[in-house]
Amino acid sequence: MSVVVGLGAAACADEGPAADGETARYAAVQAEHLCAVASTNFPTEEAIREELDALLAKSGLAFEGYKAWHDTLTESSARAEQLAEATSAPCP
Amino acid sequence: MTRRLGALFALLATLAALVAAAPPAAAAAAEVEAITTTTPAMNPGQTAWVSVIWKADKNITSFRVTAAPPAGVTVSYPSDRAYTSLYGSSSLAKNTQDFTAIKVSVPYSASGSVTLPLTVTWKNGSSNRTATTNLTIPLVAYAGPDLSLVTTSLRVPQATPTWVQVRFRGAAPSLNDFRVTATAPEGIAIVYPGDGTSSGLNGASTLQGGTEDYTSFRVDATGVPPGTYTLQLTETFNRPNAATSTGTVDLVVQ
Repeated sequence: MSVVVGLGAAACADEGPAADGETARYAAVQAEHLCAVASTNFPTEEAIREELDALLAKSGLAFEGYKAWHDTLTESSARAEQLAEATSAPCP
Repeated sequence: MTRRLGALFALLATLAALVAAAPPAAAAAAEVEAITTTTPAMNPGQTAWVSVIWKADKNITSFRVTAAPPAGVTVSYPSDRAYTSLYGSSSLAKNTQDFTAIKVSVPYSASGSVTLPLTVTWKNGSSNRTATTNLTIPLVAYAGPDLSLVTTSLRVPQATPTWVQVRFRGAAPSLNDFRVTATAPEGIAIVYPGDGTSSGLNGASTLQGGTEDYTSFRVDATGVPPGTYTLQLTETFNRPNAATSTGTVDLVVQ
């Protein structure tokens, strides 16, 4: 049985890996990362990764977990909906 | 009646053929949307990674983007590939957003803005899709310092000539043909790589804005007693016209 935190009913569909509080944190980091790359040109390719790593560290998350989460998005409608919700808010 | 039915079937057959042969552009445009149409501004002479955020209305795979830069502008992609894909994946989940990054070099002679035509390809199931869009990069002239010295002091033994590294951080868009000379007090000798008359950067001949690189030279302090001395540094470069910058570092002879 999967536990879904802070999601609408549509996110509870039994399709792919479940969404939970941790996946919501990855979604929030991704949304913040997208805002950062949209507002900044980076001097190096590594600087983009460093920006992501800093956001992950701030949220107590690691890149390996982020990559694993990212790889599940197309197979988990619940996680995709979490990310869609996180990115629906305008950037600060 | 039979003739009318025949004409109707012919019309339906024609319509079906038209639908089957229709290019997927309209459907493609609906499947993928470029959220980013204008990037943050760049400076003429600058090299930077710009990003485009994409959104799909269904699960898509094999997402690739290539750019056709105008004359004078160059582009490259992550990991020296021939295209850029989404960050960490080539798939985009339904209703989610992800981004592609492109390295863009704008010449000093550019002004106004750069329009970068993008070609996007992906798969919807087993169907290949293609769409095109334009990315606008506004250009703003740079005003500010050329560079800063990251290294503030060097330590060398008095008994043995020693190679030292002096690190710089670029601030201006790009400082081409970057060379460094050091002037030391009497009794201290400076030797450049290959017994040349100046020293270049370790990584490349250009110091890009926002990046760091270092130069090396050998310090022979056998002719002076231990103490702290001042090294005068002179950096020459083109941006795009020839220019010079100076600075100092402390040299601690032990």
